[in-house]
Amino acid sequence: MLFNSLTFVVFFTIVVTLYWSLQGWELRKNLLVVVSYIFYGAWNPPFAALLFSTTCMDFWLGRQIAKAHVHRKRRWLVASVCMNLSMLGFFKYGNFLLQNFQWLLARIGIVYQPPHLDILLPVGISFYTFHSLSYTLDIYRGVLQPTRSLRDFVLAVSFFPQLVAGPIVRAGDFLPQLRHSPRLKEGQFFWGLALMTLGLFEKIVLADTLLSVSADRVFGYAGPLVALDSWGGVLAFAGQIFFDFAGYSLCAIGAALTLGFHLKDNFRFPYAAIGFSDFWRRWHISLSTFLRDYLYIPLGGNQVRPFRAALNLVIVMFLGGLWHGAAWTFVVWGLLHGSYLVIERVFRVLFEAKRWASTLPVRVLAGFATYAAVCVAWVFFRAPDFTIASRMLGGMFGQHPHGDAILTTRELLQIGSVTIGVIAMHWAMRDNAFETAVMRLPHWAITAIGSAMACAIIFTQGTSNAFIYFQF
Amino acid sequence: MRSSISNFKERLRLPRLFFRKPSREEQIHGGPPLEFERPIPPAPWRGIAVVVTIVVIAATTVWELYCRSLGYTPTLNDNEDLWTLRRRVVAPESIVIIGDSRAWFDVDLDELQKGLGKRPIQLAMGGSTAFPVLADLADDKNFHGTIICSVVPHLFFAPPGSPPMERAEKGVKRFHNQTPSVSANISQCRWKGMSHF
Repeated sequence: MLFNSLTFVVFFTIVVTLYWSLQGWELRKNLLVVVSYIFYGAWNPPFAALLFSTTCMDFWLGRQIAKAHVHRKRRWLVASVCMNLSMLGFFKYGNFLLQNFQWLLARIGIVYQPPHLDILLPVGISFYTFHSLSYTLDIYRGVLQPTRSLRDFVLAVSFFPQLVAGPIVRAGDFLPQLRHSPRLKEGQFFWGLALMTLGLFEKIVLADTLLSVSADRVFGYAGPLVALDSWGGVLAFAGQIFFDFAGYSLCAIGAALTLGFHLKDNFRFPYAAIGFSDFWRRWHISLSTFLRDYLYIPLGGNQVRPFRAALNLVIVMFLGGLWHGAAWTFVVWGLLHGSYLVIERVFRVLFEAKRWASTLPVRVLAGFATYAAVCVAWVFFRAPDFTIASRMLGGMFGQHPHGDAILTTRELLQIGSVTIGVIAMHWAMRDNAFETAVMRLPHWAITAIGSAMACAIIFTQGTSNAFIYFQF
Repeated sequence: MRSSISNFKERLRLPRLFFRKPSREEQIHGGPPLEFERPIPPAPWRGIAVVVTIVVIAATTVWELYCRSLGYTPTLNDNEDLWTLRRRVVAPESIVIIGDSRAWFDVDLDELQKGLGKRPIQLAMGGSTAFPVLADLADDKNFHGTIICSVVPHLFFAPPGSPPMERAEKGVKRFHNQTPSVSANISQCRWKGMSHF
């Protein structure tokens, strides 16, 4: 069930009405579990059973970890990690692994034709696996007590706003909110609706209407393109993926707020990042902090020798890339970001102490260099294969001066104005919270902007697409 | 003598997470189980919501009336979901029309109904080949009705990967993979009175 569908509007209206009509907190939690499973089952009902079974397993394993002696704790944790990752591996990476195995055998002269596994990827499996895994990991780390209520844990994993495309809400962040019935603060419900409106505006109007068509045309074009069109396509995709995913996250945060729950930010003006570590503190924060806390720090983090720390970064980003999809293009995207982070570290060691390094022009220049490098990495994220990726890069760096020009002037203006708008907005807000910016606006301006966004959502013509991160 | 298993464990070098408790810093930055509350900007949100609702209803009404004054009427997007809706009503004894725009625009269902005694189901798609639909109906064990197929050679024999082939395949694929939520969505649109086919 997409947030940008009529079905969701009806579903959400019914859920909110029923939720606030019920008197008991236990009844409300039961309702949320039922509607979350209906929400998930609306894609493919049998996969709701898979979600429930993995959740039950982690609930049980969490208790075993808490009860066990020190050396046994590790075994239960390994069981949980293996169970979750094997499930993810089978559904998401099964065919990918078989294809690569076939390729490897072919290199040594063995012809092997693997059976094609007709596996349907459960929607949001990458997200809910991490929701669930965070529970056993935190119990093992000793920072979370296991919950006694299976129902509460089921709700923490399957809470419908964040179930299929994040943010990755850790059980430790959500379970404490289930202890007592939430009390809505002044304006919380309507602020939640305002965030949902902004999220839908970003998705339907900015991502799908103004940018996705150009990005799809450029990345789907079979021939070489001139530099302007290549860059146009990449900038369009850079904007599209931000508005698509940040829009979904805002909808999730807003929907949770209307029900009395608080989810953390998933984006913090990432296109105003100065450097790549800053970028990852602002982009898909729930994933980057997950990888940092459960992978990078356990690997040694910064407390090891510089070479090992650099290797750790690359390993983490490699796995982060693979998490996004079972394709080598995603791996290259992750490795590129890993390399960026390593290069940034070297630069920091060499230049951080210099006085000129912290002057405004240098910071702005570093910010634009970061944005350009992030856009280059997006080519691998979006391109379906390396042939298209290399053709795109060739076009961007002037190898096809006589290539085709397929974007119209209107499309280029559209991409240019949205890109300038988003970068200017991010730079203006980079050190502020979004809420602070809203607080500073006069009430009539909030009303006018809210009305304009709601009208734009309704008046926008054409078919809206599914959220990009659903496929992960 | 140490066992080979313990040697293996050492060499495996499982991440440190498996061997130690998190530091104080990790506990703070790792999140759980910190209490967290989102800030709510102070503003008269109820009043703002009421004004926004009134403005949106007024603007939508004006826009709707303006469009209708130009002669537009509500319709559905003609896409694979709409096609799937028709494909679902195919019964074992149905008469089904498949093919391209010639079969779609040039066949009068009312006249056919008078002559054949029952209303045919229109599954033709503009600019598409009938081939994937024909193959799908042939594979359907429940279907043993009649197919009226329009054949325009350059469309019917369109090669794999060509737009006519992709268009038809998209419809067939959606019929087999349509999720309950999409199905509910399109049904709601029909319920809103936009059924004209």
